[in-house]
Amino acid sequence: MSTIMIVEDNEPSRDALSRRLARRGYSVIEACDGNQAVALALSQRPDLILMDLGLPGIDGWEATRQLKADAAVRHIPIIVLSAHAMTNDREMALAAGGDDFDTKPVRFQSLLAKIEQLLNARVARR
Amino acid sequence: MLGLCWLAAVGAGLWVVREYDNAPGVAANAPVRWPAGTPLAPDAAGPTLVMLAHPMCPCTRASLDELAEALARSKASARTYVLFIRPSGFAEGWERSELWQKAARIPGVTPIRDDLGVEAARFGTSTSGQTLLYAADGTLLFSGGITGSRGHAGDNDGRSSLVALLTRAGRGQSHTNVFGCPLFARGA
Amino acid sequence: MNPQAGVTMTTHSPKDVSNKSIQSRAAALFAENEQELHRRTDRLFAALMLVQWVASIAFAIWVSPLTWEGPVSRTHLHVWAAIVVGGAISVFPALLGLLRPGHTSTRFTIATAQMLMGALLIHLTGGRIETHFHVFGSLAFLAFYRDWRVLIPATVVVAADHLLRGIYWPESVYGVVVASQWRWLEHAAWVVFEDSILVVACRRSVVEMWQSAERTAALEETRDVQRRNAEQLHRLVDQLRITQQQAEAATRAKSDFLASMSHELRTPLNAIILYSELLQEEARDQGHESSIADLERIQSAGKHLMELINDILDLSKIEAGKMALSIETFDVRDMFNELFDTAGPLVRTKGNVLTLQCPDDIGPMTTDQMKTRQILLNLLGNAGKFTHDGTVTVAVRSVAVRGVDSIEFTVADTGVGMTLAQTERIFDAFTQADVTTTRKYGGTGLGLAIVSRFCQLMGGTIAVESEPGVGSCFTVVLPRVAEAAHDRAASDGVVAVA
Repeated sequence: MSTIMIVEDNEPSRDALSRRLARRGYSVIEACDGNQAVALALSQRPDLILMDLGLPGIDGWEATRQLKADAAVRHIPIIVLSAHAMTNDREMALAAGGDDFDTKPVRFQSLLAKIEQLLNARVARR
Repeated sequence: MLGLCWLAAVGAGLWVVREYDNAPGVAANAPVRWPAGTPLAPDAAGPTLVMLAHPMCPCTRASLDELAEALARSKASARTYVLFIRPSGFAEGWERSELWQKAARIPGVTPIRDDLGVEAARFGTSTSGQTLLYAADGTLLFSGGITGSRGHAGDNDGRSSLVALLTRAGRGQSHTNVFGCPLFARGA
Repeated sequence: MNPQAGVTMTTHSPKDVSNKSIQSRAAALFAENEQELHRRTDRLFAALMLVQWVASIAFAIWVSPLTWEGPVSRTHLHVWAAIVVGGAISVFPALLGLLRPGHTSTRFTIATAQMLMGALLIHLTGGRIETHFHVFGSLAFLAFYRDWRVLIPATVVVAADHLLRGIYWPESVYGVVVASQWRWLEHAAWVVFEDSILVVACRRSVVEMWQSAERTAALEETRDVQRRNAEQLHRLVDQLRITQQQAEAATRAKSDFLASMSHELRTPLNAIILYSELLQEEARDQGHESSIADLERIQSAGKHLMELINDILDLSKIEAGKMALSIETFDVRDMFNELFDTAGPLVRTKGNVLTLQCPDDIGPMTTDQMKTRQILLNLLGNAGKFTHDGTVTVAVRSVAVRGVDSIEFTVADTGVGMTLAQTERIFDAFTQADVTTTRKYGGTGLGLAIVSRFCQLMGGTIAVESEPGVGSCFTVVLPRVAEAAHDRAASDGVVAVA
């Protein structure tokens, strides 16, 4: 049973995504802002993180960078989600350490595919 | 206005000058026949010209010019005397003025000193520039001035008449106005 | 005096108005010039008058200083005349010349005085013939005024002098007591002769002055016009600069707006779509069949909205110049395989047959893969939309366009087709083939506008051929290697081009 942490400040989006993932059998942790994300990641050690970019406190880039800098949680794959349309966001997110990138509105199937791919890869590496 | 006053003043001034220049001098009362007793020798073969002049009179310059002109035109070789009066009180030689030199330069002219104006008186002349023409036989042909006005050179009745008489080419005036300085002081 | 042609104007066109203003400026310049000329000449004559006066005195003293009466001498009247009459003749006009230069009365007085002085000089010099030249010289000198009327008082004085002398002292004029008609006529003729020459010269000179004034006025006008034009140009340039700055500011505002709007629009949409999908899943689990269809509608509306928002934002980005290329190298055949997986079902739903003609060795492309996919997807989507029970053929081949190695994609269908008029408009934003198309076929009307701009961005072209009832054929040609990528080693690296 893999644990996924959703970092998203918009309540409806967070709730809907969380419930859909839960129906798929994942265990879901929720964080509302960047700081909480980092803290929860460190304490809970989820198997994968879905990181929204536009967050209060420290934003998604910064949170990603921090997590990837920390040896304890570096290994956790992060999929960066963004509602912004700029191509730069993709580069920046990946440059900050994100493992993959997706746009919002989320196409659930494709997101699922990315999640599975990353989790399997990690499993394979172990 | 102002302009008219000015014109009037100027006009008056010029009038005065004109009057002066055109006022004839006292005419000569010349003897109708060559006077005896004059040291001047008349020409028995031709006419004799006599001009009386004040050596310092500026107007007579013109008279001499006219004399030269007349002689040149007539081409006559008349014996010509120009008498220059030496009034009393002036040294000898005073009469040899610029006018004397001028007269001497005219061909055919003999300038002569007239002490105290004796000859002038003999010829009845009292105005500088008076010109007298006597025929070979001694008759007076012409007595008058040969300038148009005082000191004015140029064509004039007197000179034309003189030329006519010298060349016997026609009639002319026998008397013309004479313009010049008086030879004697007033009352002399 | 102005030799002005009388111009009557009935209409006031700008040319007429400018002509009129040139004329009046020319008149002003001419008057100025004329006045200056008169003043200068007045001052000149004032000096001449005084010089003549002094000369006359000097001459009188030199020529006839004394008059004699036997042994007695007095100062010659001529000397007094030179001083007094000469002074009277000279000083008054000289003063006028210095104090009232430019007045008509001044120069008339000067003209009169000049000739009177001549008369005096003739007397003082004893009628020397050369002094008579003073008359002719004076008349010529008076012509300096360029005002022919000054010759009138001068000639009157000469004539009057002659006349009076002729009447009162005829001998002094002609040397004969009785005046002869012919002599007078000869003297008059010489004066009239010179007068006429001088009058003509004056008038001609005035005409030249007038022309010069006109030319100067026209030149001034031209310079004025030039200066005004230059000023206007500067103003326009300044305005243009401001407008440009405003446009740039507007563009920046637009980009900022875009950036924030895209987030604002997509966030709630994200929730709508997620929730409706979630509810659908739960309804399926719980067997609420009726809800499923309703939720289906919500999703489809949401997806349509999403498409629309994506298209609008894409188009806005392109318009704002903010659409960047993300260049990577990818295999063309592989891309098509993925593409057909996605688009295939859509095309086939209406009973269409989808075929791909692509050589095995077509090779790789180095350009923005996402955009290329988007282009092809859009074209395929359209082909599928507007065709039923027909064929959709995609052909790929390598071509050389003006020496550039390119790949040509053709998407041909046997669908409804378009008229020539329609084909001319379809690449415009918000235009579909006609107003009923959206209702019948869906779509946003933005797809082809975006497609064509994407082609442009990648340095390629798109063209369409169509016949109503027969079908359509869209041809896209893209350089195999996109422009900017030529400068870098573009293998795996993802390079963003602004």
